[in-house]
Amino acid sequence: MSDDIRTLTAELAADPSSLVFLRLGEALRQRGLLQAAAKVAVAGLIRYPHHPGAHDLYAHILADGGDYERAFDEWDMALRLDPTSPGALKGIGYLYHRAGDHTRALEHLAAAAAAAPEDEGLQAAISRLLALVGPVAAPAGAAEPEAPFDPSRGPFADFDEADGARLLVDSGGLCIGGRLTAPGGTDRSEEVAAEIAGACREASRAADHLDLGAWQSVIVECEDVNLLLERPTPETCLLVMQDRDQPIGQLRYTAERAAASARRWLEAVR
Amino acid sequence: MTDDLAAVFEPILQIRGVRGAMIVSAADGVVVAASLMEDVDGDAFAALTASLVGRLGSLTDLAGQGAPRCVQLHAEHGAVFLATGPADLLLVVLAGAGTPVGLARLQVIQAAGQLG
Repeated sequence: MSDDIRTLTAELAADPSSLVFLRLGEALRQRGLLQAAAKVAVAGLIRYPHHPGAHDLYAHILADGGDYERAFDEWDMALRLDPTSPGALKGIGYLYHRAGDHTRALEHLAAAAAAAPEDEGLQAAISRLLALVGPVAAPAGAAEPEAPFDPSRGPFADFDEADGARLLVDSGGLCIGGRLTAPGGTDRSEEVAAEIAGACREASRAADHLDLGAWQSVIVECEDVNLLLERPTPETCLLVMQDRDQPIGQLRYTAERAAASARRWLEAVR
Repeated sequence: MTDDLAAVFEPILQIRGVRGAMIVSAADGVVVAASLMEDVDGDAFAALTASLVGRLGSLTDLAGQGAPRCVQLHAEHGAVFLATGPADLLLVVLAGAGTPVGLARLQVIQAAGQLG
C-alpha cells in the first residue's frame, strides 16, 4: 500500500464522516484497485447521497470496470445535483463518444469546458471531436436561440427513432400525441394509452396513501425495454420507451426533453 | 420471520432512508413477509403496489414487452422500489427522500432473485 493511500485510510478511519473518502477512492481508482475504490465510494455515497463528487467518483470507478450503464446513471445523478459538474459532463461526453454519438459527446465536453476552462486535456478532446463532427450547438444550459415551433407537427417533432417511442395521453386515457408499436409493428397506441392513464391513477393512489407527496415518475424495466411515465402537466401523462441497452439516465433525460416538448405543444394548441 | 427472509431483508434495510421492505403475492396483493416501520400500513401498501404492478403489467403486455422486472415509483418525499421474484412474488421497498436510488435498485433486484 502506498503512503498516500495509507495516510488517507488512516484519516478516514479517524473521522468516518470526513469527505476524505473522495481522495481515497480516487487514489485507489488511479492505482487500479477498483474493488477497494468502489467499497470506499459506496460507503461515502451512503453517508453523502447528495454529494455530486461522490457520484462522480463512483461513476469513474464503474466506467473503469466497464460498467458503462451504471456509470452513466451515476454521472446523470451528479449532474442533477450539480448541472455544471465538469467531471460528470466529461464522463457522459466520454460515454457518448464511446457509443459513437459524437455530437452529444461534443455538447457535453463543450459544457464541461465552459465550467473548467483551464482543462487543457478537455480542449484537446474537443478539437479532436470537432474534426469528426464539425461545429455544434452551444454548451448545455447556455442560452440558445428559439427554434421555430410548428405545433401542427405534433408534440414530438424534434425526436427521432434513437430517442425511443413516446406517447402523450390525456386523463381520460386518449392518445393525443406520439405513437407506440409492438415488436411485430402493430400500432398499439390507443390500447396502451388507456393503460397509461390507469397506471398514473394507481401511482397517485400509492403515493398519496404512503404520504410520499405527488408522484413524479415511474420507471419500469422489462426484458428488452425500459419505460418511464411522468406527468408533463396535471392533466396529461407521458410514456417514453427505450431499448434496455440505453442507460436509465438516458431514459430520464429523453423523458425530460419529451415532457418539455409536450408542454410547449399543449400551450400552443390550447 | 425466518432466518432466510431476514437475510433477504437485511442488506436493504441497512440502506439509508429505507422505511421497510415486504414480500407480496403479486396475484392478490397479500403480504407474505414484512419488516416495516410502525407507521406503515403493510396490508394497504401491499395491495396498492400489487395493483400498480398489475396495471403496469397490462401496459407492458399490450406493448409486447412482457412483464415488468423492476419498478421504481418516485415521488416528492420518497420512492417505492419493487422487483419481481420467482413464484409470482414481489419484493417491495419503501424509501424516504435521500435514499441512494442506484444502490436501492440494485439491492432490491438482487434480493428478489433470492426469493422462492
